[in-house]
Amino acid sequence: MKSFSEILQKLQDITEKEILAVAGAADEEVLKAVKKASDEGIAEAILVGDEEKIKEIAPSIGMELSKFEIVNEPDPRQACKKAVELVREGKANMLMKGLVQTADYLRAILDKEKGLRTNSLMSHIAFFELEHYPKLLGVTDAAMNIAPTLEEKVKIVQNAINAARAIGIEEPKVALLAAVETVNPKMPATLDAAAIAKMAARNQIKGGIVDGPLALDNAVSEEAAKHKKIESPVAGKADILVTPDIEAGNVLYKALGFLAKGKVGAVLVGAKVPVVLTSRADSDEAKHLSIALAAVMSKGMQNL
Amino acid sequence: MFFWKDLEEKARGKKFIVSVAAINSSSFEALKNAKDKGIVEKVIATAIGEVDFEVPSWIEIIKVEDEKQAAKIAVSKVRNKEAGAIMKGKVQTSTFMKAILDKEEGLRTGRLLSHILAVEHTEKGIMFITDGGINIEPTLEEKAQIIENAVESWLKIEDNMPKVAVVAAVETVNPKMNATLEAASLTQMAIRRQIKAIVDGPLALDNAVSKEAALHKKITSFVAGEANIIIVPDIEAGNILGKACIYLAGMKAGGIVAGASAPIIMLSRADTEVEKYNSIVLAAAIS
Repeated sequence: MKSFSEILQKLQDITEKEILAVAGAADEEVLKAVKKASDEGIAEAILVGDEEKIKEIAPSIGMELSKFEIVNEPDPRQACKKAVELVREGKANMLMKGLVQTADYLRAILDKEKGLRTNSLMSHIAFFELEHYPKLLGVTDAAMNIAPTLEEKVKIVQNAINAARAIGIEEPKVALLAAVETVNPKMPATLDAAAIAKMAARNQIKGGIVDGPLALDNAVSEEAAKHKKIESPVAGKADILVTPDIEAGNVLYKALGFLAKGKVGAVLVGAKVPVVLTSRADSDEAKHLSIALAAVMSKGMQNL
Repeated sequence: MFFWKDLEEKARGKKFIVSVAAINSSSFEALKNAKDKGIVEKVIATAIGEVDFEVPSWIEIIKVEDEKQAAKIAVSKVRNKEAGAIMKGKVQTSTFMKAILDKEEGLRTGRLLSHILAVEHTEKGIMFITDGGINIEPTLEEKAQIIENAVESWLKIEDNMPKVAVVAAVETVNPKMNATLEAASLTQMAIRRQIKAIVDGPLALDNAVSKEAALHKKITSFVAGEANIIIVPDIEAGNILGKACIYLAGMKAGGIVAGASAPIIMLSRADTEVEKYNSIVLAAAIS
């Protein structure tokens, strides 16, 4: 997968569009994003929220509501539950957060009885289209898991591999990032990386090629890797970068967005369906690409 | 605001002399490139055994027996002000550092050593990122010194007090996120003049460098959107950020180690020619 336009094209070509359940749809920014996704053949949506308010906002943004099913639910917490229910019932295949609290949104998704839990944990993955890199580059986990234990990192890696495969990257190459590419007993990030790489080699993590520790230059630049004489199937060709913790993850995510000016789409993975969790601060493009990412993942997951 | 071309000009205005510990062909090549561009005036280098390149007139070679001597004598040249910076050649990092940190004959200032990476943003000019290379898990006290090293180096280049952002994953203080607690402490330390700098944190990287992003989050901060110096939460984040700037954002970079009485240049095999050159330029500008 080289670019987002490939993903958008893929979605436009399919007839049966994926369906977003939007929790708390009575929000102009969110409705704009949903309208754009529908207009451009990326995804359809069921709008869960305050019906009256939705009907007020829609005309002001030129949104034709007849195309969309509306489930009237003014209470934001209930809206989250209803949106999740729609997915459970098979009426929608991905979720988007609207005007609801993130905590309520996640709680409904992670509910033990009525949620969308899997054996995994939920993690955040962002895909970037960058001028200086020849293909889409995934970054995880920049926003969800603060200080993941080794076990949690393993799940984060498996989630990322599944997500990458679902968007069409066959056998994704995963680089476990650290500050250096050698194992240093004083640097826990390198110890974790070594353990995870070994687990993948023993098929405890499936579907991808995993190596680490690798410094970022080794992971994305063949020349840099050659200089250090690193032998690795991932060096210089990473599809996914896994950071040691959220600090490094967030710093990388923001650097690629704000300094490298990359195009980005991000989703939460690890639940039964992809979960879009964009915020007001995200650009229209980021919202659009996040929906597209969720849609192609949802489609892909069904085919895996 | 300054760019690499401004640092080059500043460097050319000085008679920059570099002391090299155990010069070899790869350090020679980098220095020659810098000399050709008017950045380096002269080199004083210790050499272990025969050198593997043809020695030009602007390089003074001092033959030594071993790495320890190579480092010791190179350090002495900086100590007695014959040279303005020291560069590591083919000598073990530990041997090199030991000589620099020697209590009697080294280049100690009482502060720890820290790595500074200077990256050039096309619109905002050069920003410092520290410390992505030396201190593995700095304590709060050490982070304060890392800030002071960076500010001191900055002030050798321009008079304006730099704005320091202590970066974390979020801009609010979260008791579960140590990086945010440290950022809060460092900010308060600066307010109480325990650190002589303009510091704010925690700030996520976008808040630090983008006024728009900061406005979106309604952050009230003297530093937000205008950070000159980025203090990273740990070496992992620092290293990743620095490499992302170079390899994925195409930013031109160069780095030095600060905290000694003169800049320390430590080039790595993995550095590109541009990075090696810029590192020498940076050292010259700070010297």
